[in-house]
Amino acid sequence: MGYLVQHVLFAVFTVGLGLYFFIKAFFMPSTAAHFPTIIASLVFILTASMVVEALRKVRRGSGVPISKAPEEKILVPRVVSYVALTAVYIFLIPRIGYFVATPIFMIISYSYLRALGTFKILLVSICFSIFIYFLFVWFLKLPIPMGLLEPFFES
Amino acid sequence: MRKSRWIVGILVLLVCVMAGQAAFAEYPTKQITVLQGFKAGGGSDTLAQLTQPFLEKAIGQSFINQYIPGATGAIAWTQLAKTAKKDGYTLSITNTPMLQTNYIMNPEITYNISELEPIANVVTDPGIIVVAKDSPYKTVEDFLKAAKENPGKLTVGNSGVGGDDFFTTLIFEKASGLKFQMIPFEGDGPSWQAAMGGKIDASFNNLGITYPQIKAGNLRALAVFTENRYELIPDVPTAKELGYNVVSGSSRGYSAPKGIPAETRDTLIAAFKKMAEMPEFVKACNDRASIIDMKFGDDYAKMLKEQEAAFKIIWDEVKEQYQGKK
Amino acid sequence: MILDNILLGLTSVLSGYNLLAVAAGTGLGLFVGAMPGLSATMAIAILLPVTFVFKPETGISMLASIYMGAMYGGSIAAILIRTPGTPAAAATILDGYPMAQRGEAGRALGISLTASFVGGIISSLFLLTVAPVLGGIAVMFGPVELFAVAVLGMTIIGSLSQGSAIKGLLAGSLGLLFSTVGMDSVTGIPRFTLGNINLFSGIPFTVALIGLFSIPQAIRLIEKEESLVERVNLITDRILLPWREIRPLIPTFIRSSLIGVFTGIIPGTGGDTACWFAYNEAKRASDDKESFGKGSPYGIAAPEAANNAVVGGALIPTISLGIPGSSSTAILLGGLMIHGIMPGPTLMTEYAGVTYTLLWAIFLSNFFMFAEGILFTKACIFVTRISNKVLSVAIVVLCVIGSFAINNNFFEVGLMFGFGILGYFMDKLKIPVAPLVVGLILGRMLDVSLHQSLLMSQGSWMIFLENPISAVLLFIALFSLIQSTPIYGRWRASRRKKSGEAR
Repeated sequence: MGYLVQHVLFAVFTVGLGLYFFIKAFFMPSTAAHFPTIIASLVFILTASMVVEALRKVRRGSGVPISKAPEEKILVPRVVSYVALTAVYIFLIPRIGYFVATPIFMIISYSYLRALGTFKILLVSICFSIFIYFLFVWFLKLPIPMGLLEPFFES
Repeated sequence: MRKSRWIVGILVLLVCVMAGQAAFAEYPTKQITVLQGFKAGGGSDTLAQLTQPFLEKAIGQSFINQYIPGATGAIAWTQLAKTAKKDGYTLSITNTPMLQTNYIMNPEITYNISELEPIANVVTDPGIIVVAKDSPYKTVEDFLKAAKENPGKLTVGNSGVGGDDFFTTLIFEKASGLKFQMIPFEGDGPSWQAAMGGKIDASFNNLGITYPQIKAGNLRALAVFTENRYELIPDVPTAKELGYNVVSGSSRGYSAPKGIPAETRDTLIAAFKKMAEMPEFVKACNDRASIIDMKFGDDYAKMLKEQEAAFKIIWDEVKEQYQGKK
Repeated sequence: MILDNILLGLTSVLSGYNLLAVAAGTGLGLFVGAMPGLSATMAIAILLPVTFVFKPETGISMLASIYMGAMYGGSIAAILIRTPGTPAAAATILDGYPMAQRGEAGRALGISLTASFVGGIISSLFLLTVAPVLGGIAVMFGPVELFAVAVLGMTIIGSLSQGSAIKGLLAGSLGLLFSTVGMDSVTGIPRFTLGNINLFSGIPFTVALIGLFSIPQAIRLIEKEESLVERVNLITDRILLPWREIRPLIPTFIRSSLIGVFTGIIPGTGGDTACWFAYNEAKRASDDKESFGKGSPYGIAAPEAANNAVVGGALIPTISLGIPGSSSTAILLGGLMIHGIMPGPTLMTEYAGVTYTLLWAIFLSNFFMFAEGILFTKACIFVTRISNKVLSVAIVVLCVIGSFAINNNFFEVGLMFGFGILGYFMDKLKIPVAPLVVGLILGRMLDVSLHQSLLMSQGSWMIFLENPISAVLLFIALFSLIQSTPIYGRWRASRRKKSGEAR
């Protein structure tokens, strides 16, 4: 993706966000709308400036390369799958509980990333899950969702 | 045949034993969770720490507090009303007026008090008007005279729109026919601090919160919104004495979700009654300038209902001014 | 009278139990602070119940030591894994991580530890000597003055954005925009909440912070093949710095400590603001601005001295007036109340025993922090020896569980993740994330104080200029803003040129 395209995409995001705030504020009483309206306008102006700046840079430098060397290439499929895995993990914890979701997430992620050998993956995933449990629940007295395993952890 | 009879016999026995156990093991058999709609260290937490050592003694089980702050308590109370198990093992500390004003003011908040089983109110912190020690208003008469001469000019702080001080001010305005410039702050603290620093003319606040400053002489109390004069500040007149029928404050108590077993409710109410009679509890409350105002079960429910009706009327009157036409 | 109390406090703190509480509290603070996503405020909040069993003075001393320890602990994660352990360590990343990448992790941690120690000592001395006198300042800050403070805070953004000032300002305004989400304090209506009550009290900035800093870091750790990603391998160099290293940093230490103390005194601003103030000032005062962001020792010393100095500063109004100077001290105040002590001016008189013990505990905790820092930090090497992939997944799990634990709320985990994705894209476009956080912190204060001030003045904006404190602060803000624009740079360059010619 080109330097300019990236900036334009981000500009679309910020303008969209600004528009949401701007339009919503329009229907609010003036005291509540005051501050967000000012800020949303500021976002529009700055977004425009950012695009202009990017445009100038591209013209001057005739396309600024994002990655200078080929070996620094970002592994896009890996990043996307990893983010998706994390999203599924977040979605599942409240449903199946910490002690089921966490080791599974860690094992799948490590296997996918080929981070360690099979035995080490199992060991690290389980030990880390238990460590976090003790840290939060026993030491810091913070709650962790237990989900399916709840009956086993009730005192 | 004989074998199967044996099996049936054992099964019947087992069922009997289990049923018996269930019948004998009376509530409570495990820890009671208390949902807190505010952060640890806030007013709601203070009540929890104040009451729970005594409640534990009275009921024979320990309490664990779960803090779910956000939306002025609405997240915790929605959870209590909608998703908490109706077994008496989940309670919540319920604060007025936020408990009612949350859903009166915001249609997005869906719980209401008819979905709760009020157990007991514990403390009520009465409303109070305070000014800085060097304020030109030496007495409440000075203050009211100035307010009459400059309608809508005197700045008075409150703890935020929808809070108890906000409603106290509105009720007082209505009763006296005066008009103030109300300044909302984010909590009681910033409101009295602004009054103490002379940034605003007065703060509508709470006795328990401002008492240390009043005692130290940094703030002067002008009037208090109680039925009778309060013993800690015997020289401060009540609004009633001045001819305005305004009694107001913020109360904190415990509620369960609607639909818990009747015996469980009775056990809980009995525990609060027991606690109220403990001299150590009364002493602990006095030490913290917390004003005990015990109301149990139906009385507490009645109090919440009456307040709800009053807040609704007032909010409907001022709604447009605050939120515009919808 | 005061002197008697000070001596009374000293003898009390030196009793066995209290010393133990201070040592343990500092250690716990270090540990929790080093964990990404757990702020000092959280550390105090979650360890508060642990202290119930103690006597008031012991419990409160322990809580205060946790605060102090967490302030240094936050920098360990910031330097080693580019994730601020606490929000107050966010500025430390800018120079701490690059220095660690160069293989000088020990030096970076050493500077941070020494800075924290000096900042802590200076602020403790302030607290011990002038707390009763200085407390009066806090009452002078009403809505009008707070608005000016927030405006001054926003102008920091100009100098935070390396490269493009426009991108920095854009990120800052996005932060301000996000800060308007939630119940409006003036009208009581929920704004931009998508009808979701989880957003009624706004976007919790701890949650946004974890997402913005930690998730992009977790992704960065796996986005390239392992061998190509630079990471901090070992603390090969000594943490204990030689005197010749420390000496040039002393002016920065003192300047930043004073900034920290005063930022702490102002209610509502804490270490998270002070570290940026101090970083900015250090950069402004430096002759070698280019080195900032590339591992400058001054860039580490400034925020770290400031965030520890905040501890003492924030406690000044807390103790002398019962007005918390930061969110951490607000919880500390809650802790006092739980122990049956009413906050307020009576703390200095009626509860002098507890209060002066606390003052000395803060002072002593600095020495424990320094000693424990030297021992504990070395143990942190193991965090950096783990391979990036292993670390990345662990960071994700920690962020998820940590952001849940803050408010017991799953919605906030999703929010954290959303900010994480946003942070990743911003990072790819070289849009700095830090201004967004500053905007998020200050936005609410700006909005609320602006409306309160306008209500007080019946709608006149002149109130900000009529008030002497706010007028001065706004003038400084204007000056600071002009200084960060190209116009000032050109003007200075031309002046320098002229003076050069004259010579």
